[in-house]
Amino acid sequence: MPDHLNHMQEQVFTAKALYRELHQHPPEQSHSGKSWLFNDLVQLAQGNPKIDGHQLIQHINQSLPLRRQYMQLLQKLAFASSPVQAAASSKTEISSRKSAEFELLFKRDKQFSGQVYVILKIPHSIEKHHNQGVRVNCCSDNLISTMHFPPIVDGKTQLLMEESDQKFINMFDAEFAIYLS
Amino acid sequence: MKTHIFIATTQGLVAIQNITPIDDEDISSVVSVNGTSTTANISGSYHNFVKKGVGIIQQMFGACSYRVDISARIDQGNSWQVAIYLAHLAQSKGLLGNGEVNQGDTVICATGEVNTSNHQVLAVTEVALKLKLAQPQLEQWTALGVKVQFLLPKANQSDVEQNNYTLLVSDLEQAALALPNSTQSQTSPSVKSKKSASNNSRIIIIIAIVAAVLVVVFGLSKLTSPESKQHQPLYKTSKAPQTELNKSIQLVALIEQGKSCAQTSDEPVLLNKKVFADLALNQLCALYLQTNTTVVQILLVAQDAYTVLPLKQNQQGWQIPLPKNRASHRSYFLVAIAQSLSEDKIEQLRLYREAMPKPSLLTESALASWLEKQKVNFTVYTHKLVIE
Repeated sequence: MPDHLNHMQEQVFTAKALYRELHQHPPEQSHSGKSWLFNDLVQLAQGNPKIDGHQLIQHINQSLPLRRQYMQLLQKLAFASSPVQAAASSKTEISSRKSAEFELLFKRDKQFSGQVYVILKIPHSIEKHHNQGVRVNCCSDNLISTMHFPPIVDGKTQLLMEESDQKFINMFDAEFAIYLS
Repeated sequence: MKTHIFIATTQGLVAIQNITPIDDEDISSVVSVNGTSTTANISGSYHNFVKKGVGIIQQMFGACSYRVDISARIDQGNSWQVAIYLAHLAQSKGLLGNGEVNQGDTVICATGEVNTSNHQVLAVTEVALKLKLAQPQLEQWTALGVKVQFLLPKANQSDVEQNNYTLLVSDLEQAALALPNSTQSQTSPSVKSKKSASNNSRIIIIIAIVAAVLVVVFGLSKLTSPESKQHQPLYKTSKAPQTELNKSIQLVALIEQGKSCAQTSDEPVLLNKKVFADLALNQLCALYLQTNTTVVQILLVAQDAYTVLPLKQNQQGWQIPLPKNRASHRSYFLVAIAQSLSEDKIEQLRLYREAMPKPSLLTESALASWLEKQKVNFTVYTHKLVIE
């Protein structure tokens, strides 16, 4: 199916969903007991560490309109991005992500083989990266995952992660785009 | 017999379970909780405590990054620094336990911040609370037959009531004495006995000075006598084996061909008066020392770190491990020995090295005179790996 038809269908779906939300109480909000505002999406997209990223991203993944809004915000507000990787083979796992603004790589721990050091290098980081850290968003057509790295020191920051962690897998999956904020 | 190091915190004692050198410039030093991927909030501060120029650990122990596993989270403050330093020291001596204390072990609990410029131990807050929380555990260990010490900064002397466990320290040198096998350390559970150890050391120094004067007086008279001309230099204990050691030694560098070490070429390194020519690290893939069978052991003694390492021999020769940190020049001695030194002797050499305030204070003649005392035939070679 051509791309523009896909977009058209998604836009119609989103418009209908938003219309319904205006007239009905969304059931998931009443269950979780926490209501999210548009500004929360903006703060998350800007990398504000005070936002409960785990809960909000769960919420975003369950709602197509929110996911669409969040993706648009990321595209507008992200500090840097790396698109879905065009691979010349069927292998989807990659060992590093590189763009003009950042490099993301991982190295295995020698002692605990299931653990990996994920290293994010930003040669020309901005002030907020030194104060509040860096948020990395991994986005595919169906899923968005996000993680927060500690503040940049000496042009880099790192996380120690389990190799089996889905967030780590997404980060080095060629079919996920990456947005840094 | 292991030495277990605990960090005294306001939530109780936290064990240092393990220290692993990462020595990769890309990876920052990290403090992990219980061997999991959960990192303690002090990881960033620990990274700085390791980093050369800001911290002390890389300078003292060689690797540019480490992973430390601790038994519980530590979220803030710098009072973990003395305990972590002691754990690195214990690790370098092969003494560090994993926090599971058994009968006959040694336990050192510590709190205190380190001035990384002059190595003084600085005062910290909540010392009384930390000691109070640790006290029941200290008593249990003592009942189990464990030697227990609680190190705290001398500047906090007025904050706590001293007991059998407490040991006040004003700098890292004093703190290091708490470890077993350190000079004067075996019997220093309190400040009082520390003072007596200090008096003993004065007596030892006086005896050493008198002995040195006697050696100089009698040594000079011997040197002027005709038979003294037959003597070899200080570090050549016998002439014949020495010549054999010199003749058949060759340092071979495997240099990369192309862009990787998949293809290499062997290149011998020039030797001139026991100094191998400087070698660029950039394209170096491996380094071997080839000797004849009279050499039974090769020790690598770093000049820019406290490393003392017996080399392993394979078909190509004695393999010299290349530094992962290739950001600066690396200088070291290679000691070819005709009789194998025991583990204890090598440990003594490490202690001798660590007693020096800076690793760079080790000279060839100082190393040679230490080796001479071990009554072995040896030759010391010098080599430097350089960054181009």
